[in-house]
Amino acid sequence: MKTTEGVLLASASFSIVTGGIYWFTSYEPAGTFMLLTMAAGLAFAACYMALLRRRTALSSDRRDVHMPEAQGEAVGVFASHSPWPVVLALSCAVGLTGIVYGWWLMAAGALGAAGACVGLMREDREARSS
Amino acid sequence: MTATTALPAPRSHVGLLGWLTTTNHKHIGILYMVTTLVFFGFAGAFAAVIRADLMTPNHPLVDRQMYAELFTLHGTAMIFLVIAPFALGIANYMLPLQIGAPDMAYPRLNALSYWLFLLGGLVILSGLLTRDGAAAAGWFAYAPLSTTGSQGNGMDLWAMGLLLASASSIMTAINLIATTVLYRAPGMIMWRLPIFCWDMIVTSLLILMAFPPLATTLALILIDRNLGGHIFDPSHGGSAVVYQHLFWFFGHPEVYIMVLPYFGIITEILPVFSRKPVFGYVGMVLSTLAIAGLSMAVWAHHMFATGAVLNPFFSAMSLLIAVPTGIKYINWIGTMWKGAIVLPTAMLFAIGFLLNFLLGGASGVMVASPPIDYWAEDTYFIVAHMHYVLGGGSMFAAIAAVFYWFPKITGVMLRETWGRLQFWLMFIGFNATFWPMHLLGLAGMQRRIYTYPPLPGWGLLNLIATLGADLLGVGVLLFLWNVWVSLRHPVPAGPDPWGGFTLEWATTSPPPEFNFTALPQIRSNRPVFDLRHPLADGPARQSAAEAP
Repeated sequence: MKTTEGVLLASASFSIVTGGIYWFTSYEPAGTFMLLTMAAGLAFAACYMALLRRRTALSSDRRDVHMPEAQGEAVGVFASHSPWPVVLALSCAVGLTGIVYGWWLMAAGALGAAGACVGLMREDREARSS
Repeated sequence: MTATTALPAPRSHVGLLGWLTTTNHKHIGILYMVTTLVFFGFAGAFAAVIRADLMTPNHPLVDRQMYAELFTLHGTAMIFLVIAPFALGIANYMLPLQIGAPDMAYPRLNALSYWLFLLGGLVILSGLLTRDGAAAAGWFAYAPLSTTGSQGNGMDLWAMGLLLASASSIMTAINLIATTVLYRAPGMIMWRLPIFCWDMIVTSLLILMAFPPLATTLALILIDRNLGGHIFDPSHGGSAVVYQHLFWFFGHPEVYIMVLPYFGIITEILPVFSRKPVFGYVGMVLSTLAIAGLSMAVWAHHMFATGAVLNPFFSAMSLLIAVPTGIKYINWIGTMWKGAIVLPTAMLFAIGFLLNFLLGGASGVMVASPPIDYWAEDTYFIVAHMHYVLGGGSMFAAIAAVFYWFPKITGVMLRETWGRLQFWLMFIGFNATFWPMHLLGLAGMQRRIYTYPPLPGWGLLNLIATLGADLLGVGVLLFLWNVWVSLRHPVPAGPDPWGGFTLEWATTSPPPEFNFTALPQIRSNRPVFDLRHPLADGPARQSAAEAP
């Protein structure tokens, strides 16, 4: 995680320096704003990684770990099937086309998306409680 | 081995319902790849009509409007629905395997990403079914052509479809980063990651930086078109130049989003078939980061001709990209140098990539210089340049990836004889199609014209380009035939038909649901090589040791 953090910080620094040079050579606000926004996003991600690193110790970050030491390490909960992603995607597509074809489609899409989100949350809760 | 827990399956797991509800990264990877192949069929058919239309002077097959729709949909499909998503499909399948993970970090988000991508593509293409036709403002849809200049719903559907596809890409990028950061196998420190995984992380970061501006731009187009906005309308105080800034702030990184994953694929293939570790692992990673960083600061080289940007800044930044790209070439050549090279189809396409991309890169350096760009802007020279980068580069690497990983995904080998024939057809066809376009561009032939006068040389060069495109088409059909025959009459591949180095070759072909029953000890970036040669010293150890 330290490497990832370093990559993000280096990228943020690059964006700040480039944004600075760009502003003082061009005085063009749109590009400067975009470069500095990029720097802010990368710096935010780097800070999050730094916080995560303090809370988490991963065997994948240890150069000399032996496989038996990592035996039984719980790495996560993985859904093998779920009907809700396709429902959510379909609802988003239907809702978006409502901008052109009628606001009622947008309402139908929003309803479908809300239902899919509820379904996803319930599915997740059931899995974690089982 | 690490433990995993599977959520209880809702109902059936087989047949159509199984594919509709799957959240397994391998199934989703296959869905991505098959879907991009179908979209490639559409894009290829549009290109075939374009080339037929331009085969002879003053003899158009389609009218101006239809031609504009065809080149818009061809470009849109190839860029947004084929080249970039195919790489995401490969990454979906291979990245968890290469890092020793049981699945992607967020399987349901992964499924959502795929369905948004599919529906986005269908929404874009559905413009063809509308009364006024599909979008016809080119793949970069400059305002005000895409706002006040386009009638009908085709343009709206284009923007909506791309919004859905953008959301899909952003979600996939988040998933790939989270998977790589959190789900690597024990001992797989970042500096032991396969280069393909590094390139996918960097590509994902680029997606996270570049796609939000695109999504914003698309939303603003929709506001201008449907809600009375005048954001890009100069006659009401808006700015068309701001559109170009926003679009290209996405658009140039997008080129590298379409290229970096394929750099990674090539870097996987060359060492395996040269029987050597990759030369300069750290240099490869750092050059990828440098290319990505610089690619975020070159957007306005697409705007030299507007006179509204600081040309020297963008020219210098664009020229600088040649340095890390050159480092990659040195490393690729170094990897092959004095290797025990074998030449299966995957390696042939990888070498084809090196040659084609070199030409695309060289013409890229040329047009990074404003005086040359002024001459070449909006001519067929630019068409040739981008096709050498994305067609001869990325597409050749994509085919190399298919030949390399098809045995892992399906458990059967593709026919090498058909593959080699396909390579030569496509290599000759590709260069016959796009090399003449350099000459046409320098002679002044504009892009996006549906017919042209019989000026000296233009007819012959266009005829050669069309015949070359026919050869390319035959090559693609041969590939489909190869896949069909190989699946109908399978030749079993076994777990590791190539003598691969990375973790995907340590499991069965195809892999089980959660990928591995056991993982080897990871001591370098070539764990499977280390497993096969436990006493080997030298390159593998050196490669691991040189990492920080």
